[in-house]
Amino acid sequence: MTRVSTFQAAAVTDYAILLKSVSRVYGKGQSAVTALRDVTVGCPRGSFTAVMGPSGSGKSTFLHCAAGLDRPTRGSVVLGGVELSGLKEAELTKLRRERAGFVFQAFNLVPALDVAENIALPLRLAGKRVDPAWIRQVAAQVGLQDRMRHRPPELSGGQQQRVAIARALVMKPDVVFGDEPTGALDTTSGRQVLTLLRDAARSGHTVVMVTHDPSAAAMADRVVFLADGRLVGELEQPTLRTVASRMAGLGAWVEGIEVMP
Amino acid sequence: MTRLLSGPMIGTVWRTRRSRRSGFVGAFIALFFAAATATSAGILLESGARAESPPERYAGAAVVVGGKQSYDPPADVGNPDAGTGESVVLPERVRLDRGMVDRIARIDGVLEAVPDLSFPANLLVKGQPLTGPNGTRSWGHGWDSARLMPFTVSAGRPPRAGGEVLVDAQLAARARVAVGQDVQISIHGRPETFRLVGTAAGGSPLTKQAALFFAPDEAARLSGNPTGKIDTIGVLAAPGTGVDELAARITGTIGEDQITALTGGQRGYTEFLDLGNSASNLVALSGSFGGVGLAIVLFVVAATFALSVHQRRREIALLRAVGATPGQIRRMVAAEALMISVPAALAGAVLGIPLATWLRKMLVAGDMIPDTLALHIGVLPAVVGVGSTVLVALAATYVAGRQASKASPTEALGEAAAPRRLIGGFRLSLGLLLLAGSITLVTVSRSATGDGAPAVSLGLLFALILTVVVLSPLLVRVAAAVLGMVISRFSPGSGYLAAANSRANARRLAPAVSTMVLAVGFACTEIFLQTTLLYAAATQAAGGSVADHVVVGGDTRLSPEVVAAVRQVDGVDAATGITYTKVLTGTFDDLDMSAVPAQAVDTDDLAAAVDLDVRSGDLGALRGESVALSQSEATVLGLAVGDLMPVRLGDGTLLKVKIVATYGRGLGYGDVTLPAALVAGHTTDGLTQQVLVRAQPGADQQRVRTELAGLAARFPGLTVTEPHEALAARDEDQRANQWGAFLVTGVIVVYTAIAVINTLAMTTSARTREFALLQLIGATRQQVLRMARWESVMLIVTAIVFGSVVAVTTLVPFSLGRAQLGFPYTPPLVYLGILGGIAVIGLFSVMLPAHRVLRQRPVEVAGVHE
Repeated sequence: MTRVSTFQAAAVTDYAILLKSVSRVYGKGQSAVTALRDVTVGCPRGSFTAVMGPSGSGKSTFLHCAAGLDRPTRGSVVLGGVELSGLKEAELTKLRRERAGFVFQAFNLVPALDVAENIALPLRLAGKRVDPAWIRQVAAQVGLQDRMRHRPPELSGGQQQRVAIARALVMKPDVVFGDEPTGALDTTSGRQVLTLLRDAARSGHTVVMVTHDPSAAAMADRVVFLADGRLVGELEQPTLRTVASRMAGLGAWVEGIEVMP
Repeated sequence: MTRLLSGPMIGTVWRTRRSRRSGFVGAFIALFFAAATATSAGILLESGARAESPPERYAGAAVVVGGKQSYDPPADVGNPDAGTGESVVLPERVRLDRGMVDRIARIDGVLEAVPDLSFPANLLVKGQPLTGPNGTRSWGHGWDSARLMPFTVSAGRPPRAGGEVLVDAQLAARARVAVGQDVQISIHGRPETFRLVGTAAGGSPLTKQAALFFAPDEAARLSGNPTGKIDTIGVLAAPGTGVDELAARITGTIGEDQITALTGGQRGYTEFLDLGNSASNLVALSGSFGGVGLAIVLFVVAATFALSVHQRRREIALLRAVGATPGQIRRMVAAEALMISVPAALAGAVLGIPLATWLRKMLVAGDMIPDTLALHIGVLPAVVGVGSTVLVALAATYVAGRQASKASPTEALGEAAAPRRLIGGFRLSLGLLLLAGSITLVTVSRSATGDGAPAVSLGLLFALILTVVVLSPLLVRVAAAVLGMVISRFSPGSGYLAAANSRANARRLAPAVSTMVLAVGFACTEIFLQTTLLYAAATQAAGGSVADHVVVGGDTRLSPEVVAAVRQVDGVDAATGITYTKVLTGTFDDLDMSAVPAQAVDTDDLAAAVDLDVRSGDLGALRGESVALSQSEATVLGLAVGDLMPVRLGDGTLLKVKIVATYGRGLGYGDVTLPAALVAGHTTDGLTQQVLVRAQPGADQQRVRTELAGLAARFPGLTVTEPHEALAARDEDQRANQWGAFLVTGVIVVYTAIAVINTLAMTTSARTREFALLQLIGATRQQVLRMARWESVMLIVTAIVFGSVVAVTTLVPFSLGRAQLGFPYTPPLVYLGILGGIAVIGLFSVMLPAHRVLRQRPVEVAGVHE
């Protein structure tokens, strides 16, 4: 049976992102793999949600469906008040550009562009005017106002992730999605990145982050747990201890290290 | 020292090949077509070298002896054992002394030595000369030589006395003449009457000639050499004598510097001289095809391997990080090269066979080689093709491998590694050195004016292309900066990204741009070299033409006596006969000589009939043992008016002549002009091609023309044309002569086009992750495609600019020097065709892979899932 989110009762428009009974099946027939089974989750505006689960639990699929990068087999996704199903690929891309920002684990930046240009890229792609003052302000938010003319290869991994956060924020999106944004970073840099994400949530952006690191999840307002494609639990105001014990209950290896496949 | 041997690395290569398919496929394609080109060049070369020329009239002779049809200077005067220098084919028949017949007849194993004479003889039908089958020549001979086929009398009887003739049965049928009838025959271009006493047929019909037989003494008289020389000697062997052994004995006895004695399928070379010429032309053509082709292949394969290694820097760095030594990396890259190049070269060698077959067909269609020249498909060309391709691959890999092994292990640790320098210090210095060398070559090329000028231009072309290749990252960066400014203004989204990418990825784009520059530069240079040469020849010929009428003889040519007859025509002011031939020129300091086009002229009226654009000296002094040289030939030889020089005529006869004048229109009229009297008796047929006629001022041109045409009664086959028609016919001939060069240029251009497609597709296919990232941060598919399109536009413009600069730098010195033109002749449509071609290829080879790359879902490519 499906666990029903506690947020289900609230009105649709209160959510920056809402997944209703979403299932995602890859492949057909015998070889079909169900990555998500009837998952319903909503994230209120200004919230910071971490998505956790063991490897293969469907957390990446969850994020891709929520962000409109992947289309659910069944169910509906509403991003910033817009129902995603039925949108054409180009419309979806434009919606994503306006309403969603992304921070991935690595390789976030266009190496040919410098910091300022990377931050401004979504604006350019959307055909919008690039206001240098705004770019400077966003860069200052992530503490990189002095590195505007550096190119990605000249930055540390943590600095690169901060550029990615700035770029995610530059369009003032409804939701910022993070896919293991601290996965490739050392503890200090990871802490900086998480703080920036939490600040983003405090200032009204909604943040949804997939992670396998309990200490990262503990920075969020709320953690949702996935296992085997199902929503298996939630934790409000998580701490490292509560997250770790819940994960241990799911049989995950909680040291925060995964062996590269 | 590491204890790891290369074995495990090779295993790694094999297991990881799947992950770099695009690089491997690219290298495979480049090498596959390289081997096909090299093999087909080899097959053509071997076919030319081994070409058989089956004899017709000499089919029954065991050995055919002829004069040595080449000039082979000793390599070292003081040392006779040093071998010979560059051999030059002699284009006109080298005749033999009649005394040679008895000397050969006395040799052991010779049953009989039969002399043969050949002279132009055409049966006249209604006053018009009849050629051999399909426009071939028609020759007269002594009946004693009929044994060599052997011909047997099919009607009537053999000719026994003067005034009697026997013709081959096919000719008699075509002419509809019967035994017993009187026939008109044009001998050396003058008609005579004979009684047809018989017809004869050989074992198989004649396809390359018509034959007329006269009584032996009559033949000697008609040939114009009553006592002196004979053309060839057919040898009938005594029973039980091996032919090759007999030929060797004959050569040994007489001396190999005097004669050639040929057997079997080679005998036709003595019978048909032009076959030897076309076979050696084929050897020269396929030699340069193979040589130029391999040089191009080296560039292309080097660029392809550089690209493939560049695309795998991270992987190689990872191998370094886990403990592979630079040496192991080099061996791994070399192992890969072997693994790809051997199967690619083997498969390519197989394709070489149909390619060679097709090229032969094209050359036959263009009349460059006779249809009888069969393709010889041996193992050797394939072995050489495969071997050279593998060697080229290994050489190219050596450079790429050195680059690869320099990858620092820290580069494996992601994008945090320090950005690489655009161009290394060594590479920059090398590039500047090459640039300096190219500039030096420009001045050399400016003063290279002889037949060797195109070769110097080719050297300059390769030097310039090498310079571009070495400096390519820098050039791409500069071009991207300049073009980027324009394009960003046009398209602030996609164009801006394209500009930034091209600027930042100059290194990655460099191999593709180098290949494109190579394609544009090579195509423009080679094609416009030919068009410039043709155009210069045509302009010079037209510029020098001051004649009012041109008397021509067509396929059967004219008797030299026609000139005197033309001068008798009412209203004719001046007339000069022109015989085109080739002579060998050189200096007394050097035994090497080279064949150059020459014209033998009647000197009396020369200045009135043709304007050679005299630069120094006086054409009026062209009498006796004298010669006039084109300005460019004089420059090549380093000689001036008043100097003495050696000249060998087309049959090898050595003359010592004085230079009396130099002139500008060498391409139009030949580099050497000599008095007709010097050449008389030293050409195969002793005939003249045309007579230039200048009418008296105020003469009735129409009447002059009619009277000239009336000479046809005395000179069968004579017609009168306007100078522009004669020029057009000459242009046509020259164009036909360039056909082979155009053809092989075309094949190499196609190879470079394949290389461009290949490198661009490789470059684009490797951008999967970049395209995915752009989509994830909000670029639509259309925007990514537009970006790719802008990038390819920048690459195309860059390649066109640098390719054109390379071509112009190569062509201008050539056209100033050899062609004496201010600027190379570049037909705009051809140039636009080349540019259009590279643009279409450039766009398609970027856009098709881009579409394919974009079919993958971005989330599967980018993000965490490395």
